Amino acid sequence: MFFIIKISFVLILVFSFKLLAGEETDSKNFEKPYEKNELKSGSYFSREETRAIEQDEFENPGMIWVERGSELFNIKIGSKNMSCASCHNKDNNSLLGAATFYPKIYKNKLINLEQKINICLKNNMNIEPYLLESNNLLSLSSFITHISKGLPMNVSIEGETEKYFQRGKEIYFERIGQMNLACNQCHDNLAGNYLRAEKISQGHVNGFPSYLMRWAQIASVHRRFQFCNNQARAEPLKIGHSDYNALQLYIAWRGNGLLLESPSVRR
Amino acid sequence: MANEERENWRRRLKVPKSAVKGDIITIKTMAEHVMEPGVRRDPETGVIYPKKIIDTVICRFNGEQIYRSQWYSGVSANPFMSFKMKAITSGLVEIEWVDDYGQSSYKKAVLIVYDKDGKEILPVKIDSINSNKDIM
Repeated sequence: MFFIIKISFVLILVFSFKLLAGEETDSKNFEKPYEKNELKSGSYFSREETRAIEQDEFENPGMIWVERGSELFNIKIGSKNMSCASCHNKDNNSLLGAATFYPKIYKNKLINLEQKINICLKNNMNIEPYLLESNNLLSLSSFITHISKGLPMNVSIEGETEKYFQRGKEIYFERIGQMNLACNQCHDNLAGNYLRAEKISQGHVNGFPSYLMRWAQIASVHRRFQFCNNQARAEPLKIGHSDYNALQLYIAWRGNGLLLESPSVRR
Repeated sequence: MANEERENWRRRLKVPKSAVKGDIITIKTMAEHVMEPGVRRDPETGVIYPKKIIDTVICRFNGEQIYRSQWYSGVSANPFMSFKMKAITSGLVEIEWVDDYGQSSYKKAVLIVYDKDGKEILPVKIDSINSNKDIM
């Protein structure tokens, strides 16, 4: 009897050690600044009136782009006389949830949704790709993101992506510009406080491509990054730069679990 | 096709599909437009962007003008406008946006008004048409 108790005690000890060891391997995982229940989308920090515009589907000016995107999606163009809808429709290759995985690895390179659309246009439809940040490309990307509205963000940082993830994290914590600011100083430490007349958000990208009132048009994540860099008086990179993709990956991973709400309306 | 900027400017109009007589309905409109006030400069070249705004918006119900507004350079881009209207008869709602270049664009929608018994109230009396036919 005593032996059995002893053995079971030893077993428990061994088991608990194993558990501890398991925890150790878990601690290898990267730390997120916000727990899942602390995650707040940007609309939480925006003003009530802005939120009202965003939630009404007619009042939301971003829907203009979504409508145009859905038209572009169905128009047959190019030498092959194909439209996006001839490959991606309800029955096969549905784009439902596609936007939640980006940025993603494609042929050993990290790309975002806009770049992926261009690759698809060039390779499969044999037409000239759109310029980055052009109106048509943003329309298409906001339409595709709008399809998966309400689904949680779910980017992966495993395998090949991890290299880019580390680079993105580096950029996020790097102090830049005349202001000597890093992203985390505001978006991790001071979120919810006022910066002049506006509340600082947690800096998630779940609402992009979003309608920015200051430019009166839809803007991609990269253009917003450029604006952020400008405000820190740093020299912005070009739209579509691989560093911006890496940064977008890190930020998207930070907000994994947030629901997509494109096209959102921000000031 | 590719890389042509803003080929089709969009106009949006939302009218409730049906209403009961006497209801006050909201009509919402939105126009995609740059609404360039004519004071901004290109940051690189310094050239002033020419003024281009929507300056007149006309709303018609069954062909009759019920609402007209004059806009100036302070209106935001992609202007949203809504107004309220009392539903009396069924009819065609038309909105016309006119540029300061004289270009006009328009959008229409149909409103159907029912009375309390569920009968549609037409803008023209059918009885009178029938009686006309009898005369003919």
